[in-house]
Amino acid sequence: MKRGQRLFGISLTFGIMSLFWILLSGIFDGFHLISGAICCAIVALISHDLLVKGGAEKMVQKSLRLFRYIPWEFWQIVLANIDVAYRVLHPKMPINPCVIEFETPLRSDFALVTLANSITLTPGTITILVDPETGKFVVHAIAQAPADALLVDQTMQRKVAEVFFVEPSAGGQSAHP
Amino acid sequence: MGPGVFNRVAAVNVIGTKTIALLVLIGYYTERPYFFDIALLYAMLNFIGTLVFARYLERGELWS
Amino acid sequence: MVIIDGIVTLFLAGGLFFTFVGSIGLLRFPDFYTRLHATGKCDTLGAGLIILGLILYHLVHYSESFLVAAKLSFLMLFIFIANPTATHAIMKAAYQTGLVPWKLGDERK
Repeated sequence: MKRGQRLFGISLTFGIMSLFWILLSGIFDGFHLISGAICCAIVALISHDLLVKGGAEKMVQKSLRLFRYIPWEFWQIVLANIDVAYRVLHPKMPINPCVIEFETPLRSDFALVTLANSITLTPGTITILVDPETGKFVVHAIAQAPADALLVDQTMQRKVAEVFFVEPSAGGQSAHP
Repeated sequence: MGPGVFNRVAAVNVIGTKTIALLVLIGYYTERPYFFDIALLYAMLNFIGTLVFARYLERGELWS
Repeated sequence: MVIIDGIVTLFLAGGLFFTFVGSIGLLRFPDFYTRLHATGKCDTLGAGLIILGLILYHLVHYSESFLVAAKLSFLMLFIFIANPTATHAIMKAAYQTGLVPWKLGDERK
């Protein structure tokens, strides 16, 4: 990695670690602050390249768009759980599970993890397999209606692709039971 | 309920998550603020334990 | 003060209801994959709502220690990231070792 990115990685790791130190200890006298600074410096020097990898642009704008995405996500979580509660407490239990595959153009690690977590937390679907080279997702759906919302509407993929500055595409889809 | 190891791993995950909520509530009830640190630590232990167990079941060994 | 106590009670009751529904779903559903649907979603939100209610209670009544509220909010964020990932890991392990999903009309497994 270049020198500028290495310095940015070390300082970002140092900042986050010292934030956690202050959060978890709560005592603000000289001994604790100095020992906290020493421990954070050692950790940041040894393992700074776990957090900042080479080749990530536009990080500030991506973080801002991520903060705008989170309230919509929380509302989807509440809707998802009301839907599952309805299916559990109904006396006839209307479920009809099937397995679905689709593709997305996202490639970076963080974007794939965000999409997989969002699919797991939304009504009726859980991700099974993620392939990081071709962007293929295998998803288990509990009824036909959430599966259609994920395959046909593609709301979730459009929202996550808008966060990470990637154009969404109508990738190849297939549903096999 | 079914026999088999997968159902039992899911059950352990559920018990761990409920224990975290219970620890935070007991921390408020007995007015001791140290239970929140225990809850945070147990959340991390539960997560790592479930991941390691699922990886062992998938591959048959931990490191290849 | 009574309004804030009412809202906190509402959050705690909602969290308790969702956790209870998750456990009922664990007993009622006929297959492993559908059981993971019930517990992985409802359990996460139930615990998250309980901790959210307690953060509100702490901010109103014990408002001199702000660090405890920050610690609890970090715990809630960690639960919302960690529980779906653990659910996905168990489901992937079951799928790769060949457990067949349930279709409408099979018997209960």
